[in-house]
Amino acid sequence: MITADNVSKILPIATGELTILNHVSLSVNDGDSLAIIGPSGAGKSTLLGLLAGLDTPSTGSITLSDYCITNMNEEQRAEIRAKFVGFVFQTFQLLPGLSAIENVSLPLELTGRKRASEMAKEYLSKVGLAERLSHYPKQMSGGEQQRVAIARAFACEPKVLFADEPTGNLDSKTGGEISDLLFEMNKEQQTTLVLVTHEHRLADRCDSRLMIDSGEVTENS
Amino acid sequence: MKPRSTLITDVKTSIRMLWRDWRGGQLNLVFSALVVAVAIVAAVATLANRIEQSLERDLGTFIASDLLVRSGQSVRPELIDIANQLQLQTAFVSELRTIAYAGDNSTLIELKAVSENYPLRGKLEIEDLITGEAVVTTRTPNTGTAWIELRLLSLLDIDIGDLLEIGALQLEITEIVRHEPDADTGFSMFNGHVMINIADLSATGLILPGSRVSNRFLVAGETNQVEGFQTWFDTNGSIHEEVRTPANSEHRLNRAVDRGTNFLLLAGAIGVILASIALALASQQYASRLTDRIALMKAWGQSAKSVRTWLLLQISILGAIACVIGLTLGWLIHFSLATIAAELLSVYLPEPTVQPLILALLTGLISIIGFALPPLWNLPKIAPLRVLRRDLPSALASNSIRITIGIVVIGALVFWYSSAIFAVTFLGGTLAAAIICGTVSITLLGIGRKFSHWSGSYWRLGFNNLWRRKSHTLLQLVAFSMTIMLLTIIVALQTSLIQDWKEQIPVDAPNYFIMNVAEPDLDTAKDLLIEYNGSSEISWYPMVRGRFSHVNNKRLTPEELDDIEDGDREINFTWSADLPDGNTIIDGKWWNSKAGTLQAGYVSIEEEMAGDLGVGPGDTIQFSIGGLPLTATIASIRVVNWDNMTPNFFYIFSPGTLDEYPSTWISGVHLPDDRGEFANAMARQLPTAVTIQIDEILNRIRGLIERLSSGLELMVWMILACGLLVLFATIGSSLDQRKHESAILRTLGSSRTLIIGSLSVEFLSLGILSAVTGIVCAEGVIAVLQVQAFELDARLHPELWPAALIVGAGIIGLLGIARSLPVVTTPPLQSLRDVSA
Repeated sequence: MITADNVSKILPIATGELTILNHVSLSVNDGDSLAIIGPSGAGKSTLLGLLAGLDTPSTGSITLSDYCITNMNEEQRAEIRAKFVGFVFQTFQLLPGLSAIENVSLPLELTGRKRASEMAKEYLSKVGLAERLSHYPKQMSGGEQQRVAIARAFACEPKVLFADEPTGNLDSKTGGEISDLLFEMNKEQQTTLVLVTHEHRLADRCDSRLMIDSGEVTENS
Repeated sequence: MKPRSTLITDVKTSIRMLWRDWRGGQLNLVFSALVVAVAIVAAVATLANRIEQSLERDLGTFIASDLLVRSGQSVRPELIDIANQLQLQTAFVSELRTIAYAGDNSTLIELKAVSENYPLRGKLEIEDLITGEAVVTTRTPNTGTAWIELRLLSLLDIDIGDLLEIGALQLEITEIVRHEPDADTGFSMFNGHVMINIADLSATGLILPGSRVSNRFLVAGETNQVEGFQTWFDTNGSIHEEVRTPANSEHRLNRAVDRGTNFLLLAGAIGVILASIALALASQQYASRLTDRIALMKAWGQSAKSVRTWLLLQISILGAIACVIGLTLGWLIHFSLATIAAELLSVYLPEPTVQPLILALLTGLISIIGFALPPLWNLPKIAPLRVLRRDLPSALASNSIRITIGIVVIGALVFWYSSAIFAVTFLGGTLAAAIICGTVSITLLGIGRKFSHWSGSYWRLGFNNLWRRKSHTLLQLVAFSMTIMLLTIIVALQTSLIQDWKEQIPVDAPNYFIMNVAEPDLDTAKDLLIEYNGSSEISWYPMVRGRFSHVNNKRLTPEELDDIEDGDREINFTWSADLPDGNTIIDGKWWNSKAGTLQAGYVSIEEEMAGDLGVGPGDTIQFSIGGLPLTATIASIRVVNWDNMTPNFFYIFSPGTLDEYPSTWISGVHLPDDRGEFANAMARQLPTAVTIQIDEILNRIRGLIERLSSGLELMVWMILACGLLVLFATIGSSLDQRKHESAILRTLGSSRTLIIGSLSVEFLSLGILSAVTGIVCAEGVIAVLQVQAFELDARLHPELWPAALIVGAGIIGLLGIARSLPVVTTPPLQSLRDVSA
């Protein structure tokens, strides 16, 4: 379960302070999905970063898989991320020098998993790229690159998957295919999904939606 | 899934990541720079080590050994024991002055008694009694026989097979000695030399208490063995013993070796500096490419500690492989060239010691710590949030910190290779030059940009691009300028050193010295020279021997005389109306400068001697010549070029001053085709004169110069390769940005011609600006180095300017354009993807 209680993020700027998030609260049950939606600059990605333990809130508290990560230092949060969290990004974040199979197996290798390569192959097959294992990112289309990124995220078998605009860089047809894949695998692995999106069609597929604007929750459904 | 981290898994992960980066080409430059840094030090240091050892051995031929202990007493058994323990080769030589008799004739001789394995270094040559040619021999005189110098045949009216009486012993003359490696060039050369077996010495009955015999214990072997002996001697030597090594044997070759060694050190330092700059730039590029990966790894939950461990392991593995390849490459480079040099020059280069390889390994390690690690050090601190927000700082170490570390490390390396003074001068000069280069270049760029507004679109776009990335442009300009400056320095110094060496021994350098010609024999000697040389324009110098006793009417004490070079023995004086070639007045006036203003009673003194005596123009010195006093006033102080292979003097008197004292005459002459005929004629007609043929010494010096020159050329080529690496790395440092901008321009519809044109303007302008400032700064640094480090005259090198300009601008221009070309051949979308990835 993920909870955020009165979370605010305030940054010091030259003229005083800038409030990016203001008293945001939410909760997502295990296996459920939440879409964070809102216009550009609303604070969606900041909230995603806080929920995933990539950053710490200025006030309020966050729990991730029953761990209160608010007062943890970076090393402790890293351990939590390693145990429970997976990511899918708008810009795919594939490593250009690595082939598809190497991109997927890298996080597995870093955590000392055995059979990393076999698992990577298995997940790439699941996303329909069994024939593209040795291809490099620049030899693939955007949709194929995002499939690799999804395979990489699920191969680590995370309890929670955070997706930042997963279809943001793709055309609507490919975006639709990618969101189908994402929800399909999410259902199969019973993963908790938190995604940030502009697209209402994608948000509507989630169990709940959180609309934020200028750092404040405007709708929670 | 709890992360497991053991050293083995960390090493495995690091190797895997390293392999992938290598395969992706991201490590090419880092690796090449490291390999080159290690290879250049390994090659420079190993070659320098071998050349130095070889030169020292050649110098060793002047003392017939690697080290000798000289004493007026018998050789102590402890010396022999320690030499045997160290497995050194040993030989014994005893010398004394005595009279030799042959029938009714007698003459003063220098008797040299040698043991069987004399000489340990250098070659002993005797005359082939049939052909008259000089031949090398490994024999020494058998007991009961004597080998004599050619002129003794005339002096004593004897021949081979006759008997020579020395002390109580009669010896049969069996050979004529043509060359002894350690023949004394001091006063003793005026006497005829006789060589006998040391076993016969006691039978001569000449070794009595109080006899003035000089005993020499000669040793030779591997460097560490000789050093071991020297170390032992330093603590156990007796006050009656004096040790001599090639290094303190005061030979003219020492300076050639010093300059050569200085050059090699400078070459090594420049090579390492260039390789280090390349390494620093390449590591910075590598680190910035790692930024996103590390952020991603941290987002996946990897701790900063794990990331740092992997990075350290990666760089250590890379460093270890680079060191091994660098050492191998350095060894092969030095080996192949040393082999060629040895074959061409028929010389033997001793095996190198392990020291240069250790030096190269440590250089690799220091380069990693000083240049490769700093850009990577802060990477593990990168915020994982960067995966979502790319505007967050990249956590790379700041430029100022890296530059400071780099300067300190380069300073330490240069200091290590050379000396504190050299390091401070060289580094200070280089830094000052960097600041000047940067300031001048950016000013010129600003001017160029203003003018570009009136030019075509290529120029405008090119100059605007450079100006917009001003800080990066400045960095590139400084790196290019410094590279061109350092390369110009090394080429110019190499040319100037070789030229200077060759000038010291011109083709017509005297190969004969004629000494001890008495006044009545002077005309005969001159006639003989005209007969053999065909020219009457040969300078003859009168020579009077004496010693000094008082300075400004104060008698010098024995202690004061001890502190002055040759203060305790007789030295050669001359007089001359004209200032001889190779002499320069630095204080006072030469008597001929205003004819008639100076009379007899004046003396001109060599600079260092004047320093020892603490005198200047106007002071008086009293001399003792054959027991007769002579007082002279110092008219001038001179700098003497001792290397010009002509007779030189510490003291030159004004004409008329020495007229009352008996003098002999000396001259040097070049007889190119003479094969000993002149020496024979002199020995027959003027047996009291000394004629020394120095062809072999000249050839040996020329051979050394050739050897040094080829060594230097090799260094220059290696350093040029380093320079190229820096240029490559520097161009690469802005390539991503240029690709990105060009891709956007292409997307917006700019033609290929416009992009290639503007890129050409950018790189050619960078090249020309860097070449101009690099050459100007190089000339400044060279002038300082020529005077301070190499004791040469400062001079400009206009012959190098066009080459530096064309090569510098051409290489930077072509390399830059060539590396940027993919921008116009790849679809813009692909370029944008590549860059953003």
